[in-house]
Amino acid sequence: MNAFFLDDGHVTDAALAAMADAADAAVGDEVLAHVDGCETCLGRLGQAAERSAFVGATLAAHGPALSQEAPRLPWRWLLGATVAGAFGVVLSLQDVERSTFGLVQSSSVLTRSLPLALRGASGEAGALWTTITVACALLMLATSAWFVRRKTRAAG
Amino acid sequence: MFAALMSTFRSSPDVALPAAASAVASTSNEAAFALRAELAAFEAPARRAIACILHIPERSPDVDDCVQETLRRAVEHRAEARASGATGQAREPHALRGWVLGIARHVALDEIRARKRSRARTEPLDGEETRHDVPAAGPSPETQVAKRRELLQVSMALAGMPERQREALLLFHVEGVEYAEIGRRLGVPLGTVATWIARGRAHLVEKLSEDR
Repeated sequence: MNAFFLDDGHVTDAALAAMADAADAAVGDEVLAHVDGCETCLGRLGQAAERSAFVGATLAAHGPALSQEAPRLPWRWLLGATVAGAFGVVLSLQDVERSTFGLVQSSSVLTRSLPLALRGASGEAGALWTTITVACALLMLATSAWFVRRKTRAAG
Repeated sequence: MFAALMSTFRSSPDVALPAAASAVASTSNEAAFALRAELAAFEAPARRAIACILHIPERSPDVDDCVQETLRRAVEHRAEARASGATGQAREPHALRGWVLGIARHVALDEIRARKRSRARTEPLDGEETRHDVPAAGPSPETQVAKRRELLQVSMALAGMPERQREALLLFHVEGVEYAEIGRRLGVPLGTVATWIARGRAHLVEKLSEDR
C-alpha cells in the first residue's frame, strides 16, 4: 500500500500538499489517479492549495527576516561566564572557614551579600558596608543581564 | 493561431471545443475531427474536477474559464505532438482521460494561486485604511506595527516546529526551492519532504489562527 493512502482509501494531507505545490512526481501515478477521480480528495486538494498560497504569501512577506537563523542563546558566552564564575568560587574557597555557613558565604556575590545584609540588620556590620555590598551585587546582576541580552540580539 | 483560438474560446465557452479543433484543422481536417472526438468526452469530468477544487458550482464563469484553458492546453499539446511526429503520443482513452484531468487540476490550482496573488495586492493589512486621495510617503505606523506583530507571530510559530521541518518549509516558500532539490539538500526522500512541508504548514496556520 502506498504510504500516501489513508486507511479509508483517500490520500494523505502530505500527498495533497505535494500536488498543490505541483510536485506530482513526489506522490506517484496511483495517488494522482485516485485524486482525479475522487471528489472528496479534489475538494481537499483545493483547500491544500489555498493553505499553500496563504503560507507562501505570509512567509514571503517576511522572507529576509525569516531566512536568517532563528535566535539562539549564546551558549559559548554562557559557558565562558560559568567557567569564570566557578573559577572565582574556587579562589574564594581558599578563605572559607571549615563550616557550611562559610561555604554558602563564599559561593557567590549574591549569596554572600544576603548573610551580610542579615548581619548588618542585626548590627554586626555597618549599614554603609552592607548597602555597598548589596548594591555591588545588584550592579553585577544588571551588567550580566545586559551583556547576555546584547549577545542574544547579536546572535539573532 | 492560439491567440485566435483563445479569443474564440472567450467569446463563447460552449463552442470552445469545436473552435479549438477547427483552428488546428488548418493543417488537417481529419486530425481536427479526431482531436475533437477525443477531447469532447473529457470536458464534463474536467469541469467537475475544476469545480471541486475551486469549491464553486460547475456552471460558474470561473469554471468555464478554467475548462477553456484546460482544452486550450490539451489541444495545443496534442497539436504540437502530432506536428512534431513524436512517437508514443498516441494514448489509450483511459490514459488520455487522466492526462486531460491532470491538466484541469493544474489549471484549477493555477487559478487559486492567481486569486491569492491578486488578493494580496489589493487587500490592505489589518488596521490599514485605504486612501486614494493622499499619496502615501511610506507605510503608516499602524501598518508597520501590524507587520511587526505578524513577523513576531510567524517567528514564534516557526520556532515551535522541528528544525528540519522548518528548514524544508522555508526552503520551499522563501527560497523557492523545488521538492526534489530540498530532498537532495536535506538527504531525505520526496515523500518525507512532502510530509514535513504539509505538517509545517498545518502548524503555522494553526498558530496564526490562534493568535488572530
